[in-house]
Amino acid sequence: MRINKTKASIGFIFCLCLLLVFTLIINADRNTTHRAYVYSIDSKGIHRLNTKTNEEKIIFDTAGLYKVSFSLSPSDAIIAVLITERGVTPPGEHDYSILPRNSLIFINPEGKRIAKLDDDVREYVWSPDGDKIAYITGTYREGKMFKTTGVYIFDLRDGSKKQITKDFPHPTMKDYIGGGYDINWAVHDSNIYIQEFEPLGGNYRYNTKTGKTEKVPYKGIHFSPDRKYYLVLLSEDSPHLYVTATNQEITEQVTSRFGYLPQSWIQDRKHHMLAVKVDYEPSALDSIGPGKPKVWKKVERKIRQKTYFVYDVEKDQIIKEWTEK
Amino acid sequence: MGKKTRFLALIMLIIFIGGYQSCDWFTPKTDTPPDTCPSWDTDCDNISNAVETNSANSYLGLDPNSPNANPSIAHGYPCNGWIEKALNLVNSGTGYYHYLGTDPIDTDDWGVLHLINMIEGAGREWYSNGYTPPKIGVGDMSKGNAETQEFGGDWRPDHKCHQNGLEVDIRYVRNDEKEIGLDIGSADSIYYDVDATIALMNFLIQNGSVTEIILSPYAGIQGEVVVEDTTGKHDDHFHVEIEDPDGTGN
Repeated sequence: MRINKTKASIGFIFCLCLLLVFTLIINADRNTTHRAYVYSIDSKGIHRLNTKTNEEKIIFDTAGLYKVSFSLSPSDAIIAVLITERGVTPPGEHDYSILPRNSLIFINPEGKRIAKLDDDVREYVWSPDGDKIAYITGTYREGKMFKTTGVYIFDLRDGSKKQITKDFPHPTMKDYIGGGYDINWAVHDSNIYIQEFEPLGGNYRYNTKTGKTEKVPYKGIHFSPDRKYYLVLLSEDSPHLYVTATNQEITEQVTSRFGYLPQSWIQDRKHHMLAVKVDYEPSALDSIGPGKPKVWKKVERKIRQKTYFVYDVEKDQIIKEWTEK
Repeated sequence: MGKKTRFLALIMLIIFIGGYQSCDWFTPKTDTPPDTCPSWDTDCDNISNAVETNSANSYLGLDPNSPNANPSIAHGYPCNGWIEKALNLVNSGTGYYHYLGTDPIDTDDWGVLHLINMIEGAGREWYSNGYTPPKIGVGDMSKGNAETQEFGGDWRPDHKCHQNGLEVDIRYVRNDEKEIGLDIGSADSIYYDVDATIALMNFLIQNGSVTEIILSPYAGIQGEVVVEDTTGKHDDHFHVEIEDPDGTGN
């Protein structure tokens, strides 16, 4: 039987295209993929809940620890656990002689330890592929920003560590400890963005391909997946929202609608945020008359319902909404 | 002397005696302060003896035995300002202590008089109401240098604000009487005394024109001037800001 080579080639290419489209659809929106496990934390441990069997298991013991938090890698394959050790103040003194100190432990979903970083990690972020973290080291200072000491990349595949910046001297403020205070590994270009504390002129980008660090004109570093907008999260006042192309602030566009600014992006390759509105049952202390003390114990209010909104920043529109009671 | 004249003389005498009783210029001046001055401010100038005798304030030449005018002025705004002739808080006083953290002594505890009076007044009430121990833990106010007489101004990266002597950071109150730090976002929250912290905040409000208190959501406190910070930056202290006593914009 003679095979028509032209038809065969066209058929082969057509199948490849179908396969490509199929793959893209599968990976289009990871957020709609059903997660096998859901994690939570309390004073006993980090709990892993199997969403199919409802089986719950403690995979990391937190009992007795001073301060613990955790985050999942983008693929949920690894869990980073940030542990703070309590500082020490000698009897009769008011200040620490040994400061609180952080370390970062990496475990798998079974709780098996994969790696540990003893550096005093203050801020960290996962790489988009989940194989590395970029992190800022520093020293705790009570009541104020930590003293930054450097920015590093840690590769979980081989345990290697590389310093990418140390400090950024300030042109006029001689006592200023210039350096990284917030960090983000951008999805749109896979580069690492480093924010100074309330920077005067801009922030920094470490190019992961060239290894070079350069100044960038943005006031913040938490970009939307499509890079059209960015959030400033490190600020002593509220978070802010800017248009990347113009550095124009548009915070009020969101706060006037929801009363606050969400502090993260939905990872859907666009520029969407998830906002929540909580309706409480009326409380007797909602209206306070004159003559009462100006602060009082917070009254735990019963939640009547929560409404979630998916908000499109560019269109200034709510594109999805649902309620939980 | 006729009846009319005697009558007029009597009226004038009554007026004269009344005037003598009420007019200050009849009263001989002395350097002795009135008996109503409190023990902590014996010259009744609203600047405590402790502040006037604090060596860090010697550049101002304050005299605890003679009334002095308030020298301090808050210029600009808390996040963009400075202090003219700032006053230094005494490191330890009735009902309070100042903690340094990693700062050198007398570099982080400068402010305007109204801020210092708020702290000292709250300290006295804290003590007289039996809340000590522990004493109130007072942290950063504004930065300053008595030698160069530069006070307030940009304090990054320590703080974005705290620039013009109107703000102070204060430790949450512990229930174990210890005068050390407390992170209420940690396992040590079991040592957090919410009722005492509420009392402390109300003493501060009563002794100062407080416009804002920024605190952690873990504090469990609400109120007219309260703002919650969910970033974790106020888990080990709460922040108090007072009204600018000389008005903004100067």
